[in-house]
Amino acid sequence: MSMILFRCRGAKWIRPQSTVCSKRLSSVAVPANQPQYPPIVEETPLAQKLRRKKQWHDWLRSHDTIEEKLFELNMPKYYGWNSVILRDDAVPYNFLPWARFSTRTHIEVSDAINPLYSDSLLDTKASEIASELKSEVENVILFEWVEMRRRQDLDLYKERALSDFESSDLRTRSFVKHLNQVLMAGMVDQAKYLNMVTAIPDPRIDAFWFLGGINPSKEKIEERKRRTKMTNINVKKSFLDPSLVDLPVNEPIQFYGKPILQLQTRYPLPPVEDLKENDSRAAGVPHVPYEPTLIYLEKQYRRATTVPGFWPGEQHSFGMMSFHSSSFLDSRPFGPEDNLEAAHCTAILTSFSWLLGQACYQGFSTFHDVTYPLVTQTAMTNGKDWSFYLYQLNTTLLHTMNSTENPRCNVCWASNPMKLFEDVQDGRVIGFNENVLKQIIKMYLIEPKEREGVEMRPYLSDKPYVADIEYEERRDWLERQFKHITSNRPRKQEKPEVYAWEKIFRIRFNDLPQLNNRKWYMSQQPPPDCRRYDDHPPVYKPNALRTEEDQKYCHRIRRVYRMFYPGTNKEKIKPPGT
Amino acid sequence: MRITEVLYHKINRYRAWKLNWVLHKRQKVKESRDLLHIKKLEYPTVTAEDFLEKAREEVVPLEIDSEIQPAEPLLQTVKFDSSHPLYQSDPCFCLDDSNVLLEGLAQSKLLLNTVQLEEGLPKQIEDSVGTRAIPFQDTRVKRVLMSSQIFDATQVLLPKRKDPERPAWDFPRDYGIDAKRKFHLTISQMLQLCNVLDGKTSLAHRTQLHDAYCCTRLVKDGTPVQIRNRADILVTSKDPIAALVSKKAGSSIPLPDIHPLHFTVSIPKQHFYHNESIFPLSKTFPKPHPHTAFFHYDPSEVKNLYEEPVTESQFLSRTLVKAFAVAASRAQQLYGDDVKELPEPLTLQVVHTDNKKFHFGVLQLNTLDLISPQERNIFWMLPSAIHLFEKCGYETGRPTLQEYNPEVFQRILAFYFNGMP
Repeated sequence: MSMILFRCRGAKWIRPQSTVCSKRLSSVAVPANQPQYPPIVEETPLAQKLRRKKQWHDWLRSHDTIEEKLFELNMPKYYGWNSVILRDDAVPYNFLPWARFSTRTHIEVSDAINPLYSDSLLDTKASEIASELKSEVENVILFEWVEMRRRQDLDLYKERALSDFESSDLRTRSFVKHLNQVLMAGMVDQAKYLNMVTAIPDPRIDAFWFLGGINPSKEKIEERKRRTKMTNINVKKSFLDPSLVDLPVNEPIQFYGKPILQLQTRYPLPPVEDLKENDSRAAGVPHVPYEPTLIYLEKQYRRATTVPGFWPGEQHSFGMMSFHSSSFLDSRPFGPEDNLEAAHCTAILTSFSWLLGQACYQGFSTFHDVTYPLVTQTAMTNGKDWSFYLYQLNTTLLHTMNSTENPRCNVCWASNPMKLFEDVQDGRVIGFNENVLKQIIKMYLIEPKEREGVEMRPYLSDKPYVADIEYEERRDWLERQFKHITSNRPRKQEKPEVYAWEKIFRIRFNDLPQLNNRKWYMSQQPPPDCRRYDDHPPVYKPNALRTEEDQKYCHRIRRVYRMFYPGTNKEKIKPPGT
Repeated sequence: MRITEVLYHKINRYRAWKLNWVLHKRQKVKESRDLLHIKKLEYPTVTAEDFLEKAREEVVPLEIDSEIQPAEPLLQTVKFDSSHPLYQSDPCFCLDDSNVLLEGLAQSKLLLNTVQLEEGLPKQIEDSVGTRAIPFQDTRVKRVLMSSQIFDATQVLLPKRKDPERPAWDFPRDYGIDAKRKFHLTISQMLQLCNVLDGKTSLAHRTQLHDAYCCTRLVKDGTPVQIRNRADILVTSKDPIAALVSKKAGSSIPLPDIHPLHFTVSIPKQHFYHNESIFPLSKTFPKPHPHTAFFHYDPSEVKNLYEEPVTESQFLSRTLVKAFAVAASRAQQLYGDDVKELPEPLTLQVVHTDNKKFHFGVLQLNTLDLISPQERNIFWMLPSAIHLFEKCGYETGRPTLQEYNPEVFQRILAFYFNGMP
């Protein structure tokens, strides 16, 4: 591996400088009798550190478009964030406290779920439809369990046979999609708005957020101690005050999920309860300060991606409900009680992630809290067992002290698992439970409405999408780069790392003096984690690709491609002489 | 750590050896501090060699139970040999989804004893195109296209891009929505639009099957031919579609001649095939009649056996072959695997698409006797595929849908509501 040389602005965040703008002093003369003093700010090391972070958050907030805001989260890390990976089909033992802590969720379990569903008008309407559609739903169950012969069981030309878990999961997914078709067709006369609902099977749900209040690892404390007496001038990371050594850290968290089906609508669901600025339930959210690796969570270098199943620009950008597979619970060895908690965990994480994605598409972020609540309904099922959840997102702030001190909290109303039917025998469904069907129908019957008198996108400009940008080169570049980042394509050159043998034989002891290849850690380079996303040499533009317009500029401009990292280079360069 | 990392790859071993001698030549071997201490305490000492010698004598050899079998691997890989459940000793001509017939339409007509009465679709169906419409039809279909082909956020590795002018050029791999997902999103959302137009009626009369596996075994001139077929979306109905013309209507039209080629040309012989024909639905299902089949054409999956690009005629013939497989497997389910004369003709509508061009056809299956000149199967189809749009994707950073063609959805709507009260 060759030695990597790059410009490094250091880990400290500095506002990216435009390649053309020059600094200009204010031309307004200030009269001497009205001096304008700078504001008085707290000067403790912690306050300084928080102010430095806030500078970045404000810069993120100032971006015009959704894509740029999501892009900006990736700017500090060239090789991606070393983030905690959460998936919706793998839950460790005793995970509910951490799942609640990481999403700041208060959970209430009851059979009635929420008074929202006990409304008498809704109840009568749902029971009418349920009795009407009961036979159709029974037909669907028979179809999926008995009458349909699947390709996976018949087509034996594949290299690998499917496991039991995979085939039962396939059946669950197929059943839910079929059930949705039947319910939509059967209810569209009673609920006209179902005409305007988009049902997306197997969408991609990604979410990224920062979680604060976690104990620093041993390595982190050592690194911080080193920074208190750091003398390397090349590393511009500032000296750390000794009082900050034991401060809790922020963990980047990346969630990947794949629901069976999600229903998207143009308008959001009405809020279940009003947004409370001081919620007493927030105090009950547990604080689990342990390192994620201690509770069997994996860490990987990944790009920060937040995707609620569609790209910005989709008209139907609010969620109504989503269905998730709980087939994975059967393969867990921890018993029924823990499985029930695992179902709650998955529901909390997926609901939060989906709503976070929707909130991000309205201009909020993990650093800027929502100004109105967002609501979604979630069903976890393996075909027979169903559990239902109603989730209200009140806050997205979870970084630094917010994870423990945020006065708001998210709320999840959950039901106990219920059986839709017991079994299928001799071509008949046994023990069909109409109440479960009624509950599913009620979820469809809650109508999304336009929020009147609420400013939906307070942190976005009038042109909230990259597609609205007029400057063609910038629009095209941002669109391609945004998709490039979200695709998590691996870098051509891998992240430099210190191998275990190098740590022992080359760094700790000089046992291999005869080894002549120099590595990056032997030079005065800053570590690769400090490299920013835009720390790369300019990209050369071949002569054949330069346009006539390019030829008007000086060689410095015309021979490289222009970069349009978020918030920079918004204007075209004027050709000289105009 | 990378497993493939080469350690010591730049060391000259001779020089390293010499360097070690130079560094350590004056070094004297010291007695260890532990040994000095032990000697001071006057404990007895044994040399390492003697100790090991004693220990070796004391070791009891481990008994290994020879009856324990190695555990079975968690993920079983299927072996393609005589132990395979589908293995048959005599090979059979097998046509599957990834293959096309070499001579295209002519060969498929000859193989399946099928003729075309006229150009275009039958008059009953052609007349009903455009008579039904859903409110704001074009706006909603455009929205379906935008959401399924542009705004869906799936990013998977797409097949390699190739430029025929520069075959050696390596393009960077693209990430995006794969063709199969695009097909499923587009068609299922279009069918949802059809469904909600008249919810109750369509609920009573129609069902959708995804990924239906239809497999049929035919015999022509004593040569068995098997068609293994996947109907990506199959719409089934409560009542079968009525026959469009009489069974004998096609008897006067001759079959095409592809002499000197045999009708099985480019169909490979295989040892692995089903002995019986398969239709994915059981007979007891209340809506069992195949009504409209949607087939996906994925250019990265479908290949000629001899690696030439797939021609237009081969694309059209794929519509016929796949439709025939669905209809024939249903007929064989109803009347037995060896049926030749069908008591009633079976009609199936078919849409074949690669997400952009749509080909429509109607097949009336009159007989499974593939050499009978009295009764022939009849196939109606549009002379060529219709384009749903010119371009649907991002163009210089803006989502664009160019030259949308409303005719395609009108035809799908007409197909879907054909035979519905």
